[in-house]
Amino acid sequence: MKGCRVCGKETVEGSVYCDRHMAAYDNLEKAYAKWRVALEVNWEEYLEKVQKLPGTGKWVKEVAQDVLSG
Amino acid sequence: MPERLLVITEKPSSARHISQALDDSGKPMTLSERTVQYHVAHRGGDELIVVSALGHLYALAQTGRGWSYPVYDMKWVPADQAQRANPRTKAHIDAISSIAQGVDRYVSACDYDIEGSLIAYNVLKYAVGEHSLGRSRRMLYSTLTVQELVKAWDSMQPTLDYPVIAAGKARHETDWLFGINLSRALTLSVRKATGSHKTLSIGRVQGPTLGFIKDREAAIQSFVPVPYWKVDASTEIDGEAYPLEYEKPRLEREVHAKELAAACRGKQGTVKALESSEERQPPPPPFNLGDLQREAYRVFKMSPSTTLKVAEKLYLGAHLSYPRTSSQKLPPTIDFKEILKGLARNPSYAKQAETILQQGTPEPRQGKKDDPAHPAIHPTGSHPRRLGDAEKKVYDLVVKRFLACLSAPAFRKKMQASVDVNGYLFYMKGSRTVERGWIDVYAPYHEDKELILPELHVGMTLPVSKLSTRRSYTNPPPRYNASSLLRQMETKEIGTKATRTNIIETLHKRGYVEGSTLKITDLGYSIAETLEEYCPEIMGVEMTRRLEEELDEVQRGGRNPEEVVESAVKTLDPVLRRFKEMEKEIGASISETLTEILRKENYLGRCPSCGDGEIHIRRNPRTGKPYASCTNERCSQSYSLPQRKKVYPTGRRCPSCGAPVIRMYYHRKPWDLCLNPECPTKKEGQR
Repeated sequence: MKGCRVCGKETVEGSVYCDRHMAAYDNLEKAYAKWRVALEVNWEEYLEKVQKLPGTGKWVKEVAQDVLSG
Repeated sequence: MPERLLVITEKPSSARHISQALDDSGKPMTLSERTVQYHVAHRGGDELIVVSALGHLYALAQTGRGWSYPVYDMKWVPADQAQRANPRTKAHIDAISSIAQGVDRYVSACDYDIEGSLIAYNVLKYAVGEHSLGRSRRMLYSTLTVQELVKAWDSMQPTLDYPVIAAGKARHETDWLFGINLSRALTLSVRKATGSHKTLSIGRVQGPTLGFIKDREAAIQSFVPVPYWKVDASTEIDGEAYPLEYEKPRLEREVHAKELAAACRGKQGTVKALESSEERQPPPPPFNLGDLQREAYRVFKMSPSTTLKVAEKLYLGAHLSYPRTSSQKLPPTIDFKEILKGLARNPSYAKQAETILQQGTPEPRQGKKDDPAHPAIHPTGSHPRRLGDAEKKVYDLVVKRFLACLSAPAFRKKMQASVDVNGYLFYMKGSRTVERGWIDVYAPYHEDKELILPELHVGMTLPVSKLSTRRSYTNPPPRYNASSLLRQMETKEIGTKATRTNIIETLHKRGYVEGSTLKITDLGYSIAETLEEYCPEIMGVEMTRRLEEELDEVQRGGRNPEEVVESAVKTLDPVLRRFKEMEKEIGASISETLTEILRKENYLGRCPSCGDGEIHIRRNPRTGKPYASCTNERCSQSYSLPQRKKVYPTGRRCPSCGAPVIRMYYHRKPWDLCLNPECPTKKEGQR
């Protein structure tokens, strides 16, 4: 079984992430809907901005980095 | 016919107070038996022998040997046989047994709560003998003042308070069953996975509490901030700036913020409506323990455990009432006038106390929560001298809260002007205290912001002197601090007022949380996450809350204590079976984090001899004695370590010889030491 793409831990079924990073990814997607209402921003710009914010959680930053690096 | 009575108290200072209060001359004799002090008082011809316990002199221990689980058979034994206890425990028990010879009757005068009732019961049952139980009475009091102690003596209960004792026993036994079994299961699973021993613990209340902290950390680490915009605007009247609040505190779209700024900047506003109202602010209710701990944390940043210790000290000095109470009520049986007269003798409170006395019969503000055993925390009216800093603070807070809850309400006037700026609605808001009432009495612990509006009228035009919009982001939820975690435990109804503070301390001691903002450590997170997966009942609040309800029922006399303990075993047994089956997986799940922690704890630094290896603390497999040696198999560098002191790595190397420097503590003071016995600095010291 492959490990989480970010931390190597056991992945959630059907996902490339473990439960922590999966929860972070879900939150990233949910928050993107709100960001798009708030600003004109595309997915990549959003991920870059989120990564730089001090209030962003550590797991979210790690997932954002993983998504950006493809 | 004159009798000899043995009076058992919880602590030495309460023994002193009680003997002085009950002695006809106020001067009891102080004697000692095997270095244990006791007091002999005389009252109405009777001889009263007043001796204290040292908290719990008896504790639960496993029946039989072995360090495995499940273990359900237990017995009460002298505390020194069950755990690390006060070394004077045995001498104390022997002394009480000896003093009790030739006594006719017995009195339990420990603090009136489940712990106090159980302490006296165990002393009577085991140190004096079962025959004493039928000839024992219970003395109930909430303050250690002469007046209350005499009243408590004269109106003693004819028997011991058996429902409270039963609840205490059931609570201790249930907690012991959960604590010992789950902690052993956890420790053994990790030992099997790693081969290393690290004492881990989890319990009935500790589990859900750790769960709260873990869930909060997960919310913080998976938090995504969302942008919003705030409008900062103000107007100027007679050279004074007044804030204008836009009707929506937050704008969710940047485009709206830009539109608003373009439409309103540099424009005039018109006052469309004026409203004012007066608000009555009743005084705050008196403190129960949780309220006092939260308020002391808010105003002094004092930890809940320190607040409790200080409040107990003030209670034992007869300055405050019993602090472990849930009550926010002050019943009319309390002599408010007498307490106020006492406080009026203290220059710090004289003015406020006299004002309340002049107003006639004082009527305190009551809170909602009640406690059948004790009233809300209140001063006794004594005039304490020579208090330490922390004691002064807590005493002042309690006295001022007591005086405040007997004072008149405060009244605040609120004003609001609706201002239209080019179709956008803004508010000018002001508020001021018109009657300060209790706020003055409770100063400096409560202050409202005062913002007085100028003279305004409908139709008046106001310039928008400043207007800007700024982008902000939503914030993650804050980590718990000791105060907010206590509130969460109270809200979820887990633990008791007496145990919640200890649970937080245990989480610190075990290394599951760190810092005053209770940040969960990797170890704490790993344990919480693993147990949530394999034993979710332990981490959830449902099981603990149900047990709490059952234990409360025992105290109310509505449930058999043995049944509750049996029910605890029935709940625990399937959990432990599953634990055993999954031991390997559970251990493996925690071991990765634990191995790293143990590595950090044992790593003392790079080897100064070979430069390749690392110096680690190890234990001699035969003798178990600790030493330090290099991890490089070809290097023979090793060091002796102090055998009786715990050694902590410092991460530093000796500037003189390059050997690792370790830290030890003597009477809590740190002492750093180079490991190399041949270090030139040590030679210099010898010369």
